[in-house]
Amino acid sequence: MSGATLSGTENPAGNTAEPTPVAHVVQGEVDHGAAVVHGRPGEEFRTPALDLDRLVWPRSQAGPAFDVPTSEIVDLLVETGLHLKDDTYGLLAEALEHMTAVSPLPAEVLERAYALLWRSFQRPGILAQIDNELGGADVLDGWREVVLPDGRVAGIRAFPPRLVHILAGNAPGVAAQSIVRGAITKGVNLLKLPSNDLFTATAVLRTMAAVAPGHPIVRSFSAAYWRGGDTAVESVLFRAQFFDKLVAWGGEGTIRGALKYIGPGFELVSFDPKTSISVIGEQAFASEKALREAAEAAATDATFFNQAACVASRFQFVEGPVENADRFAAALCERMGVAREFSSAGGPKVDAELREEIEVLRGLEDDYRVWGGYDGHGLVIRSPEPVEFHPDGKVVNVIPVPSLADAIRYAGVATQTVGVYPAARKVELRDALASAGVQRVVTLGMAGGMPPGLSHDGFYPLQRLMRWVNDE
Amino acid sequence: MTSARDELRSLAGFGETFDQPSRRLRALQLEAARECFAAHRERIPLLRRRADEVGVKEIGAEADIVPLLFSHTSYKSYPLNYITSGRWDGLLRWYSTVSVVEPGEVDVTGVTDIDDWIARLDAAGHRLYITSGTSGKVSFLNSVEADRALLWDVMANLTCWPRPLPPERTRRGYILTPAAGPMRSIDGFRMHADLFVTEGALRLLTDEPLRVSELMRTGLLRKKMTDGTATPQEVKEFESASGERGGEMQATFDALIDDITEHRREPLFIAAMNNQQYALMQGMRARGVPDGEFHPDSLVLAGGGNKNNVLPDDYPQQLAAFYGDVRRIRSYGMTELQGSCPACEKGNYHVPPWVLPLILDEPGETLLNESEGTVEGRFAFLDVSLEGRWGGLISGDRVRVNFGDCECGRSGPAVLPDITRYGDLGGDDKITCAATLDSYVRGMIQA
Repeated sequence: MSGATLSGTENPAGNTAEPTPVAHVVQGEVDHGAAVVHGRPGEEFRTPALDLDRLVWPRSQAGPAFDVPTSEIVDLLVETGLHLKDDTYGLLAEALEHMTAVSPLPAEVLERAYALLWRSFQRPGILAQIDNELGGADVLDGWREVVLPDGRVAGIRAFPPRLVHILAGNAPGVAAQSIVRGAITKGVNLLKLPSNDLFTATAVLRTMAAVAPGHPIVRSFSAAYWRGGDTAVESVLFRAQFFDKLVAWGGEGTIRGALKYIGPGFELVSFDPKTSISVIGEQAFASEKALREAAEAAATDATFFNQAACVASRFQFVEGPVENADRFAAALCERMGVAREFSSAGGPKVDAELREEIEVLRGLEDDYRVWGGYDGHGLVIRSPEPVEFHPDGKVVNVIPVPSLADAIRYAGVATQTVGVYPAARKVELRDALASAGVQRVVTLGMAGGMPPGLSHDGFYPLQRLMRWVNDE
Repeated sequence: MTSARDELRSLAGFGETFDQPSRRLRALQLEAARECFAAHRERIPLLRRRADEVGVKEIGAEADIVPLLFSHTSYKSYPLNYITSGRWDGLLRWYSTVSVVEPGEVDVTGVTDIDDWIARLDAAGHRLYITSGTSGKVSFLNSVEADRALLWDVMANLTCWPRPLPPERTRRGYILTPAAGPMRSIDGFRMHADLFVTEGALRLLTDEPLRVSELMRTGLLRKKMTDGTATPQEVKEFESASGERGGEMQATFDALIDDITEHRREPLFIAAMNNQQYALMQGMRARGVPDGEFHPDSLVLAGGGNKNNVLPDDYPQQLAAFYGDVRRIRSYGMTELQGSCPACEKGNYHVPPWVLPLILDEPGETLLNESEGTVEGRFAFLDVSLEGRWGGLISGDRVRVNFGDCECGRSGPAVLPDITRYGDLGGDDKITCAATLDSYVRGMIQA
């Protein structure tokens, strides 16, 4: 009972596997140095040493791309997209090879995601972001005139920012999207790589550098790994003297760690860590076809990146008696074992701890019922109330509710996306869901892949990234 | 014929508990594991279901036990709404899937709260021990009279092993935890007091028993917060209630410190959780007591680790220096394991013979046990002595275990010092945009 001393050292037992090499990109130039070993035993990787001076762009000088016309940037991005699509330089293939070692996602899911990375670089999507979020490129390229209430004319400009991005690694699209946004801002961008995706950002940046060597946008990006929370790096870099904003993609620990550096002149732009749900109306039981359609759409939303993403549905509320919920659960479970664009038929085995929780529920029949197994093909639990654990790894919790309105109380500030079946019922729910804290109401089946130009986590990202400056 | 389990259990009662020839011991443990599995799979549905699923019909080798191990999760996997909405029969049904309890043997009609429910189990011969983690949810571990009998034997014969303290009731005693309650440390302190404290010379910090419903308030408020139904006033009341209880207790605590200070040169028995031990030391220091003034026959017991890291890192050293040359217990253990692994003269923690250590890889899937030499990995074990529940458990600790002979001259296995929790090795820096709802409950109520 008396506690033993619980202090210890890192695992001295050497692992024979060579650490995976990880390249950095520093102001557009690739660094293949292999000076520092990171990672836990068995998952080691080797990165270049950090040259902190080269990771900042001094405020005494304008950033390399501050004066580059938006049209030129859009052209560069589109061109980069085409080379990503063909993987002209073989950089995505190289990244993919290493990714399978560090990412929890199966190779086939990564492959499909990589093959579609270029989609973020399509012109219509980029222009939609500029138009919807900023009202057009004019405010990026110059001073937009606005007439003040007293008749005076003032100028406003979306000025290029200095950004540190804390990337999430659960979906490769995060890196692509961050690079597109960072480029549109014309600002300087330091990307902090996560240990579960050490390769996508650098592969994209290197492709862009190959397309336009030495381009000011290329020189406006660095991507490097340091251990999240490493004060030797973060307390130095996370300062208003070097950067305006910290752009964090989830990672509760990272955000909490970064908070101590947030202060006047250094702002947090947080894509908060989120969770998502679905609500299925009684219309799903009007016919076998409707049930199949709802189950397919619900499975699509639940398995996005094998449920590793924030948009992936974990709790699904089904209108009507428990028999409806059971019919739906059975149909859903069957559709979860199907490969889709961003998911695999199989998947990682259900985590041991989660499995224990579920095993116990199997013993509490009547109140609980379980479909599927722990092999990664999908598992569904029906319960009278949402379960207290976090369904993950292709596990969905189905809860019967008398009416969809009764599901609203289960949505909250942590809920990002709510998928609704059928689409027509969104209207009756969306205000109440928004009031509860929900950010996004979608037609069931559409949770994955947020369309460019719309808000994300309750704000317009591009607009938040810019520094808005006046000439009054 | 004596069963292997009985034979191993009986080793608690004589002097060479920790010096069993290892080859014979392991054969005996495997036989006991067979008996134990055969008996428990009949009575514990969760074990039966697991065994059916992984296709283990009997234990042929140590590796067969690995897929049958539970983790702490199983023992706190009850739906909280069984408690919040008073579904005591549902809770009992849950409990009967993770223990040898049969629903029919416990009467839960008219149960008023969780403490009452626990009392009903007690009345039916099932002693429940709780452990609380950071999630605010409490684990329920079942034990029966035979399990407590083993604990008694361990305490009577092995307290302060390798220099066991003779069970003589010669000390003035102090217990700083609640007087009673379903925690193994409290039961343990009381048993120690019955063995080592002069009759009538035991002082308690409080006569109040530990109330599990109080302990669970944290977990319940947490649930309300994730549900979004907790009001600011409820949060405030929760925080100030913790403060007030501290205030009332302080006066009694001060009186105890005065008493201990006055009698410190006599043989004493002082049992407390580490945070109380630390507060006690500070109180005595404030009264001018220097290090090392205690009687060498005094028995000082502490427990509970450094939950929430409220104590300074060097608190073990500070306490050791302050008490100086008294009798203390150094051991590695957990509520889930009967007795514990006491440290030998060389500081290695010897695993009691009724515990079969199973060292696994980090994911907890592959058995790394050897017949000789040192193995590093996740600490798991099968405690074959346990009657009240399945004794197979996988822990969160990273350990090194020497399966060969120990430097102290006894045979192994022994857990070497420098035990680390896998959770403390630091996150793996994998960042995702997906969250659990817990991210949205601010740290203050993670008591």
